[in-house]
Amino acid sequence: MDNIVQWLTTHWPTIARTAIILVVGVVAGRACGRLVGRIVAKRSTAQASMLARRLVMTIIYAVLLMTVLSGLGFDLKVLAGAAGILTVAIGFASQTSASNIISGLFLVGERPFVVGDVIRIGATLGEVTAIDLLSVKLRTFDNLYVRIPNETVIKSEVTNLTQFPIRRVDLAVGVPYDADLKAMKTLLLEVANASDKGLEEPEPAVLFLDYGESAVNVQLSVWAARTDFGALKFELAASVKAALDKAGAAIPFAQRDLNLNAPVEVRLHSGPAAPQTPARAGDAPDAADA
Amino acid sequence: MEAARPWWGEYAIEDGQSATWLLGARWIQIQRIEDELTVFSDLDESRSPDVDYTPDAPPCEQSAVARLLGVTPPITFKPALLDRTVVARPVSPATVAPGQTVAFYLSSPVTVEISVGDRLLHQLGTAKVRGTWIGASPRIGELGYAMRSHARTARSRITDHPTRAISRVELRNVGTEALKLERVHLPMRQLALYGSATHELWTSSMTLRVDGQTVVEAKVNPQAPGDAVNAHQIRPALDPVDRGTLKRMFDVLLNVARGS
Repeated sequence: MDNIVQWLTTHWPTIARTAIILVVGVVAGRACGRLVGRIVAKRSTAQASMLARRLVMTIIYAVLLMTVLSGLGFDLKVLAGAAGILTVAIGFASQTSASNIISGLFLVGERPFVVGDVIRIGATLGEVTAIDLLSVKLRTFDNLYVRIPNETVIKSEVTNLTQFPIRRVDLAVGVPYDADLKAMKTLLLEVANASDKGLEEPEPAVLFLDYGESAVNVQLSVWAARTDFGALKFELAASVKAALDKAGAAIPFAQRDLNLNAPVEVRLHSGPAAPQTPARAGDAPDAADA
Repeated sequence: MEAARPWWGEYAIEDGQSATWLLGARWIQIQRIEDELTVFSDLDESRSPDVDYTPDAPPCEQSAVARLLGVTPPITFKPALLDRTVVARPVSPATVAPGQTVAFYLSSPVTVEISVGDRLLHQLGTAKVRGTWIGASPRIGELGYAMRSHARTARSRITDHPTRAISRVELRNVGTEALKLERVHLPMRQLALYGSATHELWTSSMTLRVDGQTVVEAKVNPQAPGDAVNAHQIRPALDPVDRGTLKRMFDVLLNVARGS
């Protein structure tokens, strides 16, 4: 205890100086980080601002740490040597994290999407809530939180559903084979033009898809403001069905022609259904049921 | 509706009364119970384009579109232009010969703002308008409204629609080829709205000079339109007039047919 007191008495100027440097350094680091963040935010995205702020603070804190250690009498050369060895070890262990960080920088620079966009990565569809150093965070529409590493984002196909102000609704419609295709096209375009959510231009279009098994498949394409996409899709589906039903061209059910290799006995019953007895091989047909 | 006043302006509603308006396709009823105002409305394109006002009508029973508490009339009806560019497509394309100057008239539906003092109660359209995309590609452009127009060249041939604002566009073809008009964009946000002494609604007038596929000049005239009798400004333009934007906008507007 006396040794500690004596050491403190001898070295209190150094300790006090180091403490002041530490406090000033931390405050300065935060202030510089905020200032840089504000400057970058005016010229770029919130993510770039956050990255710039963290980068500046990290650099200042690293210099501060070296200054403090040097002030306390540590030999920085020894520390540098140890740091070198540690860096190699950490480098091997953190390859994935480093890859994520670098991928994150590419994402910030390339800006395929920003916070607030709705994107699809693989099977995940959601709203971007954050683009961070290591990962992108999504909120799915059933309110699930999904974290996707930046490396995965860079290597995957990303679909941004909110990049452009308008989107096209493509509705596949089955038209009966015995219907007049040109008349059906006219009917579908009338339905599209009657919708107040569909845009007049680009004009709605009806495209031929193929001769399906049960119907002639066509596609009704109507453009809408991005915000009206979902509502228009449902409205068109309902309106098209109603229009086709009214025109006597209801969307056909799947149909199958069944060819039998041998005659099959069919029993017809009238009145209440008779109790079912399983048939056995070799059973003779009941003459009364013929 | 009384001939002495336009449909816009102040209206008094007594406690317990239900005042009703027909503004083109738009029907509005406002019921007052003490300091509570309830707005009912619907839109029916089959209605006639006239306007009508009934100070005390039987109260309706449909769902309200707005309620305002703690207010007392008078209420104010004020027309407003649409808040997006309107793309007017002539019913039949018109052609302007080289060297010719043509003035034509287009009309667009207005919206009505219902206010009590400074408080906006509700805003309603007086006709159905359909959206459209204005741009060379689906990636770059803006949303607007689409409408059909007869693009009359004589003011006298325009049917009176009290809930539509008339715009006069003067087009001069300074090129050597015929200019075929298939659509005209009205930059509604850069136009002011005027009311005339004859209760008509007018927008600022526009002047275009076109040479081939290039709009040489596009101008929104700052004065009240000359066709409007004793015009007074009801609303200024939403956005300041930017000549560069106007030129770019009109550059996309006009389709030119060579030798047609």
